[in-house]
Amino acid sequence: MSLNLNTVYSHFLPIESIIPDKKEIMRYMGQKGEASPEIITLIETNIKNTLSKASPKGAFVIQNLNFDKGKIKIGESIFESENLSKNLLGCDKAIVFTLTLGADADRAIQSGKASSPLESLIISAIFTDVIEKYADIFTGELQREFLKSNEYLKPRFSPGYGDFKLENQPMFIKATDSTKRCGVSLTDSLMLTPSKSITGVIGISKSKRCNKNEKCENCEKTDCSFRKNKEVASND
Amino acid sequence: MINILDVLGKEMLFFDGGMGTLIQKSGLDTSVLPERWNVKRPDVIQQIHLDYLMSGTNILTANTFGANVLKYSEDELEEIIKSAVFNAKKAIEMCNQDKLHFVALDIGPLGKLLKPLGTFDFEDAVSVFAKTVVLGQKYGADLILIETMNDLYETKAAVLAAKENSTLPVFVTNAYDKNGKLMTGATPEAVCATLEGLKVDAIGMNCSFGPQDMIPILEKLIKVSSTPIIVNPNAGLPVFKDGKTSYDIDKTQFGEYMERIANSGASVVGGCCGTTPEYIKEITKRLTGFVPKPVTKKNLSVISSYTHTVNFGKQCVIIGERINPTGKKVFKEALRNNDIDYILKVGLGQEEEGAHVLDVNVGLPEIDEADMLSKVVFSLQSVTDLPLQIDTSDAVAMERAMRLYNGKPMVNSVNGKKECMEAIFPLIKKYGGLVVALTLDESGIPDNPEGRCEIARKIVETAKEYGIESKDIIVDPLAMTISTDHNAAKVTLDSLERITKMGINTSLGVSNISFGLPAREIINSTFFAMALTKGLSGAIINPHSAEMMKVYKSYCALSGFDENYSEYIDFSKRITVSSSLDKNANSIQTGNEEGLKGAIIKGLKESAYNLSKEVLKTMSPLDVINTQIVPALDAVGKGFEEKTVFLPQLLISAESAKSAFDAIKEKMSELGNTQTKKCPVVIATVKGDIHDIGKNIVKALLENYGFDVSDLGKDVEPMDIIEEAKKKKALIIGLSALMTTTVPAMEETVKLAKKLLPGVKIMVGGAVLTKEYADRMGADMYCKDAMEAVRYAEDINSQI
Repeated sequence: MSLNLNTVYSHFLPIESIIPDKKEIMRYMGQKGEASPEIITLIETNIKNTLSKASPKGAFVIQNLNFDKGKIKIGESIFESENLSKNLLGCDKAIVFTLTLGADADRAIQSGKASSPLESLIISAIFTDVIEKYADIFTGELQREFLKSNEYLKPRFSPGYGDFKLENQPMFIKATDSTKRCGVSLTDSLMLTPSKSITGVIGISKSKRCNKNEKCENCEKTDCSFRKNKEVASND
Repeated sequence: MINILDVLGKEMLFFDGGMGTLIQKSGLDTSVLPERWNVKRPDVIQQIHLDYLMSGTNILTANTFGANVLKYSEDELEEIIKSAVFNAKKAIEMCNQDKLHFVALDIGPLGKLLKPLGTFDFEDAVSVFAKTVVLGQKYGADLILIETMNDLYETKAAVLAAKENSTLPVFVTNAYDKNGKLMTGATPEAVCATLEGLKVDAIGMNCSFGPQDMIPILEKLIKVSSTPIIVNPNAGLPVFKDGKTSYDIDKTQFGEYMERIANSGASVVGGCCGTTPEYIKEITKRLTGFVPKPVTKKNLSVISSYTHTVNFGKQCVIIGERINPTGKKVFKEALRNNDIDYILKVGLGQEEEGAHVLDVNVGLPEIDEADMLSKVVFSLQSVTDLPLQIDTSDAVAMERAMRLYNGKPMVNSVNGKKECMEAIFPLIKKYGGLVVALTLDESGIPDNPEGRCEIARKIVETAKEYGIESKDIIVDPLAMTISTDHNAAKVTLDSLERITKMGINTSLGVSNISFGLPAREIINSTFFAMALTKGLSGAIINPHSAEMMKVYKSYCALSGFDENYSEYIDFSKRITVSSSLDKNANSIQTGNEEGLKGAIIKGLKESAYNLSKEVLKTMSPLDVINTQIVPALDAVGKGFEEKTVFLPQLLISAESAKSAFDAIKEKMSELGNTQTKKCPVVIATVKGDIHDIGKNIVKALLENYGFDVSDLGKDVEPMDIIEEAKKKKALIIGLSALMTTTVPAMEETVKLAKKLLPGVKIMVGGAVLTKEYADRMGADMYCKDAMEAVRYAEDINSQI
């Protein structure tokens, strides 16, 4: 394992490595089941025209993790969240990361708005799929790295999931030096800019985790219109 | 006391290197903001400065990178800057070298992305930077270094603050991405054009990566810059890519690259993150006494947006003329109704047809032009990256627009009248710009080429007094209509030829030539061709005009401006598909259900428009709306509520309905009627929140159902919403918020509305909201989706 503790690394991924998934894009648009051919064509056209505007890049740091009186200390960051604690059980280190698609992606969404709300919805959904896939690829690269020393990565966990409050965002900006490394900063209302950006923690443990890569299974919001798969409450 | 500008470019100057790692190495606590160490441990900071001085640095950057009022109180800021500059000067005193030494006030980014991409206001940024600048000058800094800026707009804010609040020299270095642009998209050429327009004294790059990665960017900058160049790279930054890690380069490699960089043409060099006094020593041991390559003046006539430049003087530049109320009823209506979206669509349409620049003219007597022009320029720059031509005769409107423009604008216009030049030239001097100069003066418009050229000469000479060079002037010798003077074309063409020979660029508002004659396009296009042969640099035309674009594309192909004729070939394909470049194509596709209703349900936009037109031949507009369009919308809406139809389909149907409505609007305007609207509704995304896709969906649907919607956009102040609701006598206010952190702003807005506008109903929506939140804050209705908003609005409307 060639990555050092407490060193902030920059990360890049060529956009060509990411293949958008129309099904996922439609899920982000609120579509269930089959969509009309006109909509599918619109999605395909927008993928063709806007995908290249995304510039996947990020920064991450690997830090020691301690549990201390209900709080989670990762490097200099101190988090308080039951859900995060559950996620990080058994970990002694964690990766703290910020990933983004850059400012051009936001511009593409805004231009879409001037054409039509439908197009901006589509473009926004495309980039949501892209950033999630970027995060998956990023995690995969790191997992391969950590496997060299027989360590395993937990599913990533971001501010906004469960009880992990948005108020924790500033610690991610600081820990990953994200403003300088990849141009990600925070508004006063704790919104990441550019908007297609994610921050998160990935626990590192010496024991192989047993849960598969679940996205929605552990989330309590069963009436979410973006919920994946069968765990749907009856009043959805 | 020597001014740095006296030596800049004449002898090699050396910045210092990184400060952060050295503070860490000194054992100081990294959780303390670094600028505070100036006050707490001046000895440590002075030692770091001294170490750099001993390595040969001449320009020390004071430890003020993050020193601004967003991080510190005004009092503490003053204390910090005072001690930071003092520490640097003390170090200079201590090192006691007989050398040139300077202390730079170091200004780094605020850590907030500016609107429209973020939520921080441009003028607020200028104010924040201003406070730091004032203190830097007060406590004796020799120059200002604005560095590590990865956004052109924020850079401009900092430069304006520096220029407006001090007389110190201003150096700027930007942080470029690996793809050779700033994070928000600006190329080195665009950065250079903008900063030279703002009269920055030295420009360049810092941070991001090591020296070897800076060389390609440096080369681009050297080609276009008439200003000395600074290069302060990192000692590399740790990168993990493709499963491989790469780290810093060592000091010897660093020194070798920096020598190469100096030989390429940089006049000022130093280091950034990861570099230490040893790295700087490697530079100075190789380059002390080195005479920098002289910076040559590039005679470029250039404008830029926030991403790229457009050059005048080779291939004629197409400036789209359609954002202009003259003779356009619908456009005037849009201006009166503050329908910014309409104006944006006009702009984007021209971009699609190949315009390189967009003219922006919103001069209408009954509106506040300065306000509207600023709003439109800002909004256009949030959806298109074409450079803009700010077109107004109102100097106040022009100043405001030039100030907030992101890039270096084209400005229309100045003329030979003394009063006009006195009003406009200072603006060009301060903000930068390429100005169109009309050949008219107090005596009117000369009817001969000699007269017009004389005025051109006068304008260029006067501009020099303001420090404005002829490369930043583009002369418009005025195309007067031939219908009143059959010499008009000849005079204009002769003038074009002469002015081009004077080495000055030219532009024309081509269509004026045919005013008063029939079939204007034919004359315009031939005149355009004639003007092109005289070397016309810029043409203000309608890019939707097939005749004009035919001339343009073929002329470019014939004159060697179109390598491999790829532009022409592309164009020829589009032009043969339809005989005009009219947006509404002729293909009609029909669905399985009957006619217009079916087209809307299926979401067939073009069919909906065409079928609507067909049906209007035999049915009244109101009947079409009530028997075809609304039932279609209702069918889709019902399906959405029953979860058989989903959001994408809802939207695509809504757009088709809008298309059908466009046909209705046209018919009604022919008949001299206007569609009666339902009650006014004001909608907005609340303060601090920039998510507006959902809100835009609500807007589209409400408009389809006939509501008069006033959309204030995103990140809107509570009072602005109240004011608009008052103005429009709205019965409903719709608020959207997407985050837990912006719900308080929604609460505040609801409270204010209930207090000041008690009769108005408030509906709220957004992913973060629930009925509980909505009830708690006193809203009248929680809308879980767009259709609920429509149903609620219909409900309220039916009660009046």
